[in-house]
Amino acid sequence: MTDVKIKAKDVQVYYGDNHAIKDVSVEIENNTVTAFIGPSGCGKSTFLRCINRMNDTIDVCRVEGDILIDGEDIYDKRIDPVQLRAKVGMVFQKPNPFPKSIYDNVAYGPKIHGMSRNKAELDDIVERALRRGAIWDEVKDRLDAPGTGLSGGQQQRLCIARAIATEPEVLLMDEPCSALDPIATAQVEELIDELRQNYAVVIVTHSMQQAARVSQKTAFFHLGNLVEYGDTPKIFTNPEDSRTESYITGRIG
Amino acid sequence: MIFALFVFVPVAAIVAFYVSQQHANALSSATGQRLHSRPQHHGMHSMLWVMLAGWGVLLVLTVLGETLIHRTLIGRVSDALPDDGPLQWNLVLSDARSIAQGTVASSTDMLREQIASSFSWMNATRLWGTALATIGAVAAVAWWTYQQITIELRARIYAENMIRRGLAVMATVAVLTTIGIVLSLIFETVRFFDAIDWQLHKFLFGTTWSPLSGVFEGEMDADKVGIVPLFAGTLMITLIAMLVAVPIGLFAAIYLSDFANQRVRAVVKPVMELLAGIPTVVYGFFAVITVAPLLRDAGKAIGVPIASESALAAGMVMGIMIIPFISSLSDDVINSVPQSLRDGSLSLGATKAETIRQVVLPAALPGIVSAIVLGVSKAIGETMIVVMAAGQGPNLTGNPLEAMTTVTVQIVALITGDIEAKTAAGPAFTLGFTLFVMTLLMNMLAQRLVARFREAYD
Amino acid sequence: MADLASNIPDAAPRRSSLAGGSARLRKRRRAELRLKIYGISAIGIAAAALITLLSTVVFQAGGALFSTYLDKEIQLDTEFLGVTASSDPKVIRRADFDGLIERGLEERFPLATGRQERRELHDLVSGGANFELADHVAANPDLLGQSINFPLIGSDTLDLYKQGAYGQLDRQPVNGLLSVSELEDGSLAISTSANDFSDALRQVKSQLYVDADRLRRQASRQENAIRVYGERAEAAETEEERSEQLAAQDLARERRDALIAQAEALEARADGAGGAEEVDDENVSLFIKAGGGWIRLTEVNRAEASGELLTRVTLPIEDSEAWSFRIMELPESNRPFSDHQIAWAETLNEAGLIERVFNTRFFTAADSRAPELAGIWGAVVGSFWTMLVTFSLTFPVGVLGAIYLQEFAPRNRFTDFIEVNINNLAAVPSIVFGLLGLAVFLSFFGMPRSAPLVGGIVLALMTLPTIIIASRAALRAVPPSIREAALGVGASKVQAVFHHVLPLAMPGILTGTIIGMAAALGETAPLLLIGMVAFIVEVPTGIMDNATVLPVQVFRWSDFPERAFEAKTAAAICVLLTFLVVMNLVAIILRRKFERRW
Ligand SMILES: Nc1ncnc2c1ncn2[C@@H]1O[C@H](COP(=O)(O)OP(=O)(O)OP(=O)(O)O)[C@@H](O)[C@H]1O
Ligand SMILES: [Mg+2]
Repeated sequence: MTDVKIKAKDVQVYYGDNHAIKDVSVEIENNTVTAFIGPSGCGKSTFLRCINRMNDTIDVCRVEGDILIDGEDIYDKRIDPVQLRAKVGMVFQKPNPFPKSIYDNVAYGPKIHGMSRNKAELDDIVERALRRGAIWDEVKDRLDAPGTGLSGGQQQRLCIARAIATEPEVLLMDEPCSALDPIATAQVEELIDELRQNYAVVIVTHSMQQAARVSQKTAFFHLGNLVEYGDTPKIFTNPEDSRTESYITGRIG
Repeated sequence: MIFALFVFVPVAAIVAFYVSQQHANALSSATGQRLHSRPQHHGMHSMLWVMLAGWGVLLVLTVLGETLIHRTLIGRVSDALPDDGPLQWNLVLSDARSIAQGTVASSTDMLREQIASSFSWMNATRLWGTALATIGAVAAVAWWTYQQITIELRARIYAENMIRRGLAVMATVAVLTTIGIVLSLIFETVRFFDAIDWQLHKFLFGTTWSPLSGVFEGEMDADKVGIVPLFAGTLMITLIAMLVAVPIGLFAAIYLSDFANQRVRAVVKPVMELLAGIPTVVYGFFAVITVAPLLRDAGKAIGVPIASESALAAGMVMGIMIIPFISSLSDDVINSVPQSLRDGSLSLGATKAETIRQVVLPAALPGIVSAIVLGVSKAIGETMIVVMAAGQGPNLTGNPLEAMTTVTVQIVALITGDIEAKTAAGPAFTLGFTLFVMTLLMNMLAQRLVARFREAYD
Repeated sequence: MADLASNIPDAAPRRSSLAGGSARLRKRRRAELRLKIYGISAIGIAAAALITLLSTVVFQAGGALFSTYLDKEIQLDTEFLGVTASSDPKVIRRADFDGLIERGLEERFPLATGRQERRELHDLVSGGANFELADHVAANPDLLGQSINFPLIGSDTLDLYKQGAYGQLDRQPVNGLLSVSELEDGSLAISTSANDFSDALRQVKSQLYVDADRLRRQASRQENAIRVYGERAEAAETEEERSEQLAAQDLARERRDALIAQAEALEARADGAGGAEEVDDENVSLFIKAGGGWIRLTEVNRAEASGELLTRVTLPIEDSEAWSFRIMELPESNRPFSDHQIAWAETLNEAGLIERVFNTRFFTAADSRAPELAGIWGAVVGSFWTMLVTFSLTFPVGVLGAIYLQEFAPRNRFTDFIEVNINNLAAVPSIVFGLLGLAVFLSFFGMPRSAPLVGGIVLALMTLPTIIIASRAALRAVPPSIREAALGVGASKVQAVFHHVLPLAMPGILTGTIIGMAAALGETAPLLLIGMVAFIVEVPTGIMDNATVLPVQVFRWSDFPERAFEAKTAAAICVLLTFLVVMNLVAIILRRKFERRW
């Protein structure tokens, strides 16, 4: 099943004079988990943030080249980034729940997009998102408690639930497990695997094992270049580029 | 003379420094032993002691001497003129001083001449006494520290301990100031309440403020010291000021922190700082010369009479004055709401406006409230704008187009008016005390709120 | 995870299009735009307020830039003055130069004979001019007996007139030939061969409408009274009361009718084409310049008028075309510069005897009750002494206190208390510091009122928290590595702080200090309470002298009724703001230059 969801062509990103992404072209498939790996500072986050135009919030950042989602150029002038981000959700490295109740955290997205007509529908959406975020059982009795009062792993799953609540089609995750302990990590990984059925998931990770466990495709970045992109088993067992090999065997990065 | 002594002390201290340093050097080369402290530490030790002793003696004697002479002579004048008040006595005394110093006095008579001659010899005695005592103290202390110098003397440690203590004393000046404020306010406040037989309710809830009209033999008319009209004026003007300052300041802060780019910020921030740096007396002039006539003309055009001194004009100008205050404090808190929260909201497809309204502002709320509370406290304590533009009459009205008076205006009116100081001090200091307590409470509340905000995000 | 799968509606790939925003999205975008506009407007309002304020001040201050001088020849008559070149300078200084100046003016305008007119004539020259003349002559006694040209400073009203503060003396076009003859009662009969006065007549008549309006307003008040009396009559309980009310009502009716009749008469007069109208001091002032002098019209018709002489005119004038007709819009009763004074000023001006020169006096003189003599220098020097005291107290105490709190203080209850205390002190209203100064330094220690010493101490206490807070921030910004490095090479803690940390923190400390001093320089309220608001004509020479400071001077001048003080106030503000801007610039440059990122 090769159903291309995101297609990037010759993408260049500059932070002022700093050329952070050089000539990256990649095709990301639907219903697939794609992992971005590479040494620190190689531009994984930068590229990820291009996909939902979060880079717009940085004054000095400039993006060139084309990124198409479902064949539409998302950097086209007619595209409203607000609409794009409703379609392309994102989960960050550090859990960032709003200083609101758990319920309001999840309901925030659906509310601003007008996805529900009444309270009952909203309740329904919130419950569904929390269930799919695999956190429902833990919080169902305290939906009014502040989201900031949860543990780190719970917060991260809450943030995932919050991202799913708006029913995106693509889910971007920037090192979602780096602040979590092994148990929470396992929960999130399990969750990612399930989410694949509905979304194109892109995940940035520093953990080779994690990339190998959750992803079907892997992209290796180095100094702003996309060095190698292919099926995860192949990248990890039989990389074509020597830089990839050095990295996964722990010699660079 | 005093000034010469004031300069003499550090000069002597520097001499003491070099002498002690030399002595320590000589000592070490004579005995061939290592000093515990370096020679310059011995010098510093002497120098600090000399300065401490010299300036200390000088300060104490100057203040004591002045006060003593003043008290004695005032006592004599008041015995001679028992029918006059302190104002008159002070006048006589200052004339006597002028006569003694050979400058022009407002008038001369027997009494003044007598006092002048007493003043001359008392002052001379004081000056010479001070000089002798200071020089003596400097010499004695210099000798004492010189004597102390030995190989083992831990001069560095002593000197540094002195410095530490000196620093600690400096740090307590702020506390002393507060104590001074509280004591000086409380003293007169208690006397004032004595004068109205502690009928506090009449002070707090009375609606007539005319404290000096009912004064009789130290007794005040408790029915004429109602603070309500002053509070009404203060609150009305504060309210108007906040209605101007809060929306403008807040929207400006929001725009600057979340919409403006670097270039706009670089231009707008200095403008705000400029507004903040303009003295209040200039705002008062602006209110009188520009805003009040403008309002009056506007009122005339639509058929509403607006007094030339109105709460509205004063409040609006005060609002302008407070804008930069609110905007810079709110800008600070809005900026310290972490970017990750904004990112979280934007990544869900929220617009910037939604992010600000539903995520940033609620998160920054304690900080913003604290900025507003501080703004209110500033408005309540502001003096010049209202003195110049709000009016003097304690007018109990709910109409902002009329003249209203405030607590601060009444303090200035009482103290600078031509009423005998002793009578006016009571009500004025009581108002001051009220003002102090109000602003203190608000400030503490604001600090609480900010602390809560900081705890959450720093 | 069976329940999870059941939550997923369909596993088929979803594809929504991004193109074309929904109505909802457009609405959300509009909300965003609105917030942005609010923000821009808020900044715009703040900027507009600043610009209005500054331009008001600068514009007003223009009036203080120049002063007006009367450069008339003065005959230093030794007989009149009763002194000679060999007299003691002190005696010369006390001679009656005032009378000499007044005599000179009266000789120039002999028509000014009445008390009132002579006073107005004398008022062209400032009350301070004779002292300056006296000083000049006392310094050069040889001048006595000669005729000298000495510029006499003009009064504030003359200056305002020359600035055009009362409006212009508008020249009207004239076509006809002018005839003027003196009648027996001393008044003048004036006529032109064309209807040259008709415009002026219309202006005079427009005042009639104003009067009629006033009458009608009075009539409507009577109307109200009629209604009230009627209601009372109806509500009356006794017949007696009723008739009383009705009588009052009738009276009111009569009054109303009379008022309306008067108003109608006035309006009819105003509407009528011709008819002579009296020109009183609530009307425009009408001047004719002819025959080498000035005439004021007291009654005007289209081609004829009555008038009176303001200055000497060669009479009679017959069919002359060498004349001009001028109107001053502002009525005489609304300006402190009379018609006579205008005529004299214009005469002197035409003779080239009035000049306007740059007002150096403003920058060199101390305060005065007369606006034309008042200067800012006394206040500048007073501010200097006060700031000197403030700085020499608050800077060492503030910085050393901050060093203690930041570097040495143990963390305990007491230092926490000090810290809270400093924060609270920073928010105490400045006027409370004035009360502190009054109670402690004036009453308790008996220090002199109005002296920079006390003002400086009070401002120092007020500024102290600012400087401590700024200094602590600057010290905190010095990274611990610097301290550790110094301690590591064997320096004591005191040495580490004073040799290494303090110098690095100094730019930040200085910046904070300058900003605190700028605030102190602009502070007014506490100084009012300790008597620095007194009227002081001498430039202070030390911290114990009576003095005032710049902002207090601004306050005092803004309180004076003379209009000329408005410009002085604005000019004083400009001086004050200049100092503040310079201080802030220095602070900014310091910050830029030494700003360091660790
Ligand atoms: N906001 C920014 N402004 C300027 N430069 C930036 C910014 N964010 C990232 N960069 C630069 O862009 C390059 C790529 O950064 P990026 O954050 O994408 O790396 P990364 O691969 O995510 O690294 P890490 O694994 O450490 O998160 C780096 O050189 C970084 O310095
Ligand atoms: Mg990253």
